[in-house]
Amino acid sequence: MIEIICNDRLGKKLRIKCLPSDTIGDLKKLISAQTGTAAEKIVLKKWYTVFKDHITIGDYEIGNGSSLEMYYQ
Amino acid sequence: MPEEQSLSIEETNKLRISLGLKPLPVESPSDSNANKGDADDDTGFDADERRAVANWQKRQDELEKASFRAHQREEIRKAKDAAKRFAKLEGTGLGDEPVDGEEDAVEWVKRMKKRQKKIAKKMAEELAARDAAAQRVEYTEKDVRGLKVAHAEEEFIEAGAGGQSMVLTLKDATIDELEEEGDELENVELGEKERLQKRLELKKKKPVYSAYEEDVDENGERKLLGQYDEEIDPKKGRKKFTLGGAFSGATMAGERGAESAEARREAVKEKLKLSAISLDIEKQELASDYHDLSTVKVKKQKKKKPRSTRRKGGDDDALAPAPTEVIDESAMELDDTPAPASGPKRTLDEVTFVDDEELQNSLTLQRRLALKKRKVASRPEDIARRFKEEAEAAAGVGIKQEEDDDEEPGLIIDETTEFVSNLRAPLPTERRPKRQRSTTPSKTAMASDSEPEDEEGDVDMDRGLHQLEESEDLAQRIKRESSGPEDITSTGLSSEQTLTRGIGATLAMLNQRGLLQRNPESETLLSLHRSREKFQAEKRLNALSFEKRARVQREADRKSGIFEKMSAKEREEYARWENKQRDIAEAKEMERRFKEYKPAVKLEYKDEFGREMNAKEAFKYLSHQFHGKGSGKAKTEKRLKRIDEERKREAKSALQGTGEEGMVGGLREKGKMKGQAGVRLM
Repeated sequence: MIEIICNDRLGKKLRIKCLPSDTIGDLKKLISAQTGTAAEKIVLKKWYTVFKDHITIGDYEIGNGSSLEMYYQ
Repeated sequence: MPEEQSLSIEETNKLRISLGLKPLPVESPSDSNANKGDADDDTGFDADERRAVANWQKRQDELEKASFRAHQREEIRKAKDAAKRFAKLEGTGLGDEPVDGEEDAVEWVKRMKKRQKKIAKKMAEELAARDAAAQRVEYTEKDVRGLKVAHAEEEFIEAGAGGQSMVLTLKDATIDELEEEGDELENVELGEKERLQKRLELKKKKPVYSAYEEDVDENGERKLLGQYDEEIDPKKGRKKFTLGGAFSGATMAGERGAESAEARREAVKEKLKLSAISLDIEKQELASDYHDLSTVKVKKQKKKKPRSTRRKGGDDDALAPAPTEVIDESAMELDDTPAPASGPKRTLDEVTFVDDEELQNSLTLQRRLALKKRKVASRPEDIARRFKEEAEAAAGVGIKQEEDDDEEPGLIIDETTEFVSNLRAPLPTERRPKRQRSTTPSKTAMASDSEPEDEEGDVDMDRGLHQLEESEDLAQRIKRESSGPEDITSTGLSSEQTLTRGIGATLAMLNQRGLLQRNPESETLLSLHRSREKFQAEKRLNALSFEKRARVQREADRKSGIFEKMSAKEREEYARWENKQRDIAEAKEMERRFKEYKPAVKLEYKDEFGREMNAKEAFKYLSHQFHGKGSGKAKTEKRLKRIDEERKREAKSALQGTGEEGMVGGLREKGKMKGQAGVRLM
C-alpha cells in the first residue's frame, strides 16, 4: 500500500491510500469519492505528462509519498 | 496552504469495495508484531520497502562477513610467512658457539684438505683422459690426401734438398673460389715470393708483341695473345699439385728418393726436348701471290630444277601439258579434245542455273561412259583432267543448254524443255541469229561428225519456236499498248476525251483509280468553308424573315387600332418596346445559332492594289504604316515595276503558248520550282 498526494493548487490537497496495482482510473474514482468532482473531469499530471487511465500506478513508477498535480477539464 | 485531506485505511477500504476494487491490506497491531521477522508473510503497510531493507541488510552483512574472512586469511598467511622467515635462521651460525663440540677449526681444516686432494685427483684423471684421446687421433699423411697445394712440386724438392721444412697453411680464398676448387694449401713465404716475382715482371714492361717470335708455349701449342691467358683464366698458368697424387710419395715422405729422382730427371729431359732449339737452317718459303690449289675447296652448286610455273589465268591452262614433258600415246589421242573444250567451258560460267535436272543427269551418265571407254591415262595430268571433267559433270552447275545439246546425240524434246527454252526473256529478232552463229563454230569444233546436222536442226527448231512465240508476244504487246492509253489517261492528251463527259465524271474516275488523292487538311478546310457559307446564308435568311415578321406585326398592330387609343408619346413608347422585344428575340436566335458557328480564320493582307501579300510583304507594309515612313524612291519604283510585270503576265491569255507567258510558260515555271523536267497535270 502506498500513499499519493494529489494537489490541485486551488484549495484541495488529498492524501490517498492505494495499491501500486491500481490504475490511474481507479485513483481518479477514489479522488472523486473524496472531493465530489466527477472522475471523468479529473486530469492527473506531473509536469507535462498526463497520466492515462488504463495504466497502473506501479507502471508509472509512482511511489509512496509522491505528489501529482490535479487539473479539471 | 490547504489542509491535506486523508482517509483512514478502513474508510478507504469501504470506498474501494464500493467502487469494486481490491481492499487494501490491513495490518493489525498484533499481527504486525508477530510477523515482523517473517518477511514473506508480511503484507502490511510498506511491506515491500521493509522487505527491501531487510534484504539489503542481509546482503550488507554477507559482504561484511566475506571481507572479514578475507582479512583473517591474509593475517594467517602473513603470520605463516613470518614464521617461515624466522625458521631459516635457525641452527648454529659460524659465529655461534658449537653446541655439542662436534666440529672445531682443526677438524674443519682437515676436511678442507681432504676435499682439495679429491678435486686434484679428479682433475688429473680428466687430463689423462684428454691426452689419451689426443694421442689416439694422430694426424697422418692420410688426412691431407687429396688436398691441393698451390706451388710447383720442384720447389718443395729444392726446399727438401736444402734441409728446410715447409709449413703449409690454408690459402686465403673467397667462398666462391672455395666452392669451385676446394681447400688449397700454400706456403706463405713461397706465395709471397711468387707475387713479388710477378710484380717485378710487370715492372720490366716487356713488350707484349714480338714480330719474329713464334708464340709457342711449353707444350708446343701455338698461342694466340698468350699474355692475356692468365687474366682470362687465372688457373691456367698456375702450377699446382695434389697431395697423395702421382708424385706425393716422393714429395711428402721422401722414402723412395732414388726412384723419384729418376722420374724427375726423365720429366726434365722431356721438357728440354720440347724446348730444344734446332740448329738447322730453316728453308725460307716465298709467299705466293696465288692460293694453293690443294687448299682451296670448291663448293659445288647444286643444280636447280626448273620449276614448272603455274599460270593463274584459268584452270584449263594449268592442265595444258608442260613443254618438257614426254608425250606418250594416250596424250596424242586426247590431244584434239581438250583444246577446244576450253572454249565452251568459259561460256558455261556465264549462265549459272540448271535448266533441267533430268537432262543433266543423263548427260553426266553419258560422260562417265565416255570416260570409261578411254584408255587409262598414265600421266598425272590426264588423270587430273579427267577428274576435273567428272567433277564438273557431277556438279551440273552452270552448264548451258546449247552445249548440252551438242554433247548429247539423242536429245529428248518434251514439254518441260520446251517450256524452259521459251522461258527466256524475248530478244530482238534481228540480233538473235547473229549470236547463234557466233556460238556455233566452237560447238561444231567440239562435236563429232554426226552431231552438227542434229544440232543445226535443233537450233532451227528452237529458233522457229521462239520466233513464233515472239511474234505472238509482239502482237499482244502492240494490242496492249494501243489499248493502254484509253484506260490510263495519265497523259495530258488523252484527258480530252474524258473532259467531254464533264469534269465531275473525270474527277470521279480519277478518284476511283486512286490517281487523285485528297488532302485531309484541305478536306477539313473545305468543309469549314462550306459550313461558314451555309451559316452566313442562313443568317441572311433569318434576318430577312425577322424583318418580314416585324413588318407583319407592325401592320397588325396598326390594323388592330391599339395606337388610336394611345397618345403620340405612348405610341412611340410602345413601338420602342416592341422593337426592343423583337431585337431581344433576334439576338437570342442569333446566340443560339452562334453556338454552332465554327469560324475558319485565315489572315489575308492586301496591298493598295488589292494584291495579296505574303507574310514578309505584310510585315513590311504594317511596319511602314506603324512608323509612318515608307521605303525610299528606288525601292518603291522597283516594287511598282515588279507588280506591273506581274499584272501583265496575268493579263495574257492562259492558252497563249508562245514565249515565256501563257500556260506553257507557267508550266515551265512550275517545273523549275519543283526541280522537275515536266509537270504532271493530273
